[in-house]
Formats: sequence, C-alpha cells, structure tokens
Amino acid sequence: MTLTTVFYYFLLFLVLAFLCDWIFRKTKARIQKRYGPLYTGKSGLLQPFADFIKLLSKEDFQRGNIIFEIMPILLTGLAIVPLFFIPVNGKSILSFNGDILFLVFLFDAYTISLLLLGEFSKSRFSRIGVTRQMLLFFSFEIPFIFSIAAFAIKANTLNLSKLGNFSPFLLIAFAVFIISALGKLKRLPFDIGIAEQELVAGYETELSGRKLALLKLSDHFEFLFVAALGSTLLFGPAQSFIGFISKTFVVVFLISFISALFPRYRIDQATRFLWTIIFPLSILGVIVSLI
Amino acid sequence: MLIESIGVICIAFGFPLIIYLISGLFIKKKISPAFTSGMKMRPEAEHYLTNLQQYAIFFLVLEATFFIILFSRSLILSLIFMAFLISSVVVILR
Repeated sequence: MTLTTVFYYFLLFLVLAFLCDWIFRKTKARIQKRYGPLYTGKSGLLQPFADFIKLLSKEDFQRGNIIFEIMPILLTGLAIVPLFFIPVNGKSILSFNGDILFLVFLFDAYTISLLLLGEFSKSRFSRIGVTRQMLLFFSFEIPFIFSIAAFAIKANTLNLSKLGNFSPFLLIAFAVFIISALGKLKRLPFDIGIAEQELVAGYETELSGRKLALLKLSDHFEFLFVAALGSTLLFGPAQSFIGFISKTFVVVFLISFISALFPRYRIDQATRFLWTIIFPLSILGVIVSLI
Repeated sequence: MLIESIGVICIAFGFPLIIYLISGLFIKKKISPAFTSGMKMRPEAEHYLTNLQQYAIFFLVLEATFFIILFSRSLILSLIFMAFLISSVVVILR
C-alpha cells in the first residue's frame, strides 16, 4: 500500500459518500410518492455534490470561538478515518488486532465532538438539541456497541478484516445494529437532536456556509462508514470493489427504507423504545454469540 | 502501516481544512450575537442541562464494560457487568 493508494481510496470514499446521500434521498422520496433529486446530473446524481458546493458559497457566521470554528474540520476528519479500516478488495488500508475497539472510540469521539459543537454554539436551540441528542446517544450507543461485539465474539477476533463466522442467530444483532445505526446517523425516527419543526435545526442552528457544508459532508461519510461496517459484519469482508460497493449500497438502501417509513419519535418515546426493547435485544444478541 | 497511517490522517484532516480555508477566501464572514440572546429558558427545561463530567464517567463505565465483555468471553461475568452498567446509568441519569 502506498500513499497513492490511500489517495485513490479516499476519492472512492468521497464519491460513494455523495452517492449514499443520493440513494437515501431518492429512496425516501419514492416512498413518499415524490421524485427526489431529478435535474442535477443524470437522475439527480450530482445533487448532493451541488448542495455541498452551494453551501460553501454561503455567508459564514462566526461566534468568536475557536472551537466552534475548528470542530467541523475535526468532525469531517473523524468521519473519514474509520473508512480506511473497512476491508475493500480483500484488505483494508489500516488493519491491526483490536481495530474494532479503536473504531468504537472513534464513534464516541465523533458524537462527543458533535455535541461539543452544539454546546459552543451559545444558542438556546443548540443547547436543547445537544441535550436531547446526548440522551439519545446514551440510549443507542450501548446496543450499537453490543451488536458489533456479538459479531466479534462469534468470529473470535477483534480484527475487522477477519470477520466472517456468520450464523443465522446473528441476525438479531444485525437488526439491533440497523436500528441503533438510525440513531447514530440522526435519521428518522431518531433525528430529535435536529428536529427542524421544533428546534430550528438543533445543534446545527448556528452553522452556516462552509461549516455547515463540512458538517453535512461528515454526515455523508458517517453514513457510508456505518453502511460499510454493516455490510462487513453481515456479509464478511468484501473481496472486490464491486462486491464492496454493492453490499454497502444494500445496507444503505435498507437504512433509507426503514428511515422513510417512520415519523419522528419524541425524546421520551425514543429513549423508552431503545432501552426497553432494543437494549434487551442487544443483550440477547451477545448471549447468543457467547453460546 | 506507519506511512499509510500518516497518509490517512493527512488526507482525512487535510481535505476539510483545505476546503475550509479556500472557501474562506471567497465568502463573507460575519460575527453575530446569538440569534436567541433575548430569550429565557423555560424553568422546566433547566433540569435537562446536565454535567459533562457525569457523561465522561458514564463513557468510562461503558468502555470498561465493553472491554470486559469482549476479553472475558464469560457469560456470567458479562451479565454481571451489564447489570452494573444499567445501575450506573440509572444513578447518573437520575
């Protein structure tokens, strides 16, 4: 692996990240009897890219706070790094024993950075959005980690590139993974932290221009990573580029489909659902993998 | 591995930094007060504002539980620490 390979992989991930957003918007639109992105490029394929460029040209509101300025850059970096641990074409750029644990830390670092961004926005709407998102984070993070742990325990490895011992009983863990991924990606029905109709834009309220563009880009990369991780857990490490792309897009479509079906949960409904149903299911998933 | 790691970090953090700096050359920047600076918080919303230190403790407990479950591979030990995690969540969020 050379630095050139790293750069080519980054370009691949950048294109796939925009495509993931296109699939999400198109799936959601079709289910809602709309067309979705249509005119920008063939069938609206360039719409996410056009939105990114448009946001870069907008006015940038500054809060006089260095953390508020640098946090979107940090978030985008934290969203890109985990992608290089995903096996593509049989092997990943970065891989070591225990990289699953490192990825868990990166998940948490990304979410905490997001909450700090909202906290340093010094806005009432951001503060409430951060609080709600923090409550939601407590609720979905444990099932999310336990679902990954179930696959790691079954495969008897902490190396993402060596997963592959699939068993039908692990479908419970995968279902928990998909549902908690909806919370992690801040998609319906768990987008209470953003909640446009209630909180202006939650922790994104004070963001505009280039900071908002980078935040949206980090969101796309996070979506790609969670989908790629899900496909690696379920199908095993991808052995070719075509296999990686197709399996990842299957999981993207699954997440988009489920997200489009449900309205937003209130924060109390979301926490009750995640703690009373999903958390016990995640424990069951771990127990099944230990047997 | 070291060269790839350096390359990944440079690209992952360099790309958004370059985008941020280049786009900053062409756009108008404005220092603004908080849009909602004149609003007051509802009293019932105050108790939702929680201490970041409590969250930090919770994350430590969470990660420790995760490590123990992964490394011990013992069902009973896992259940004990899951119960400990749940009780710590109840204590922290109470």
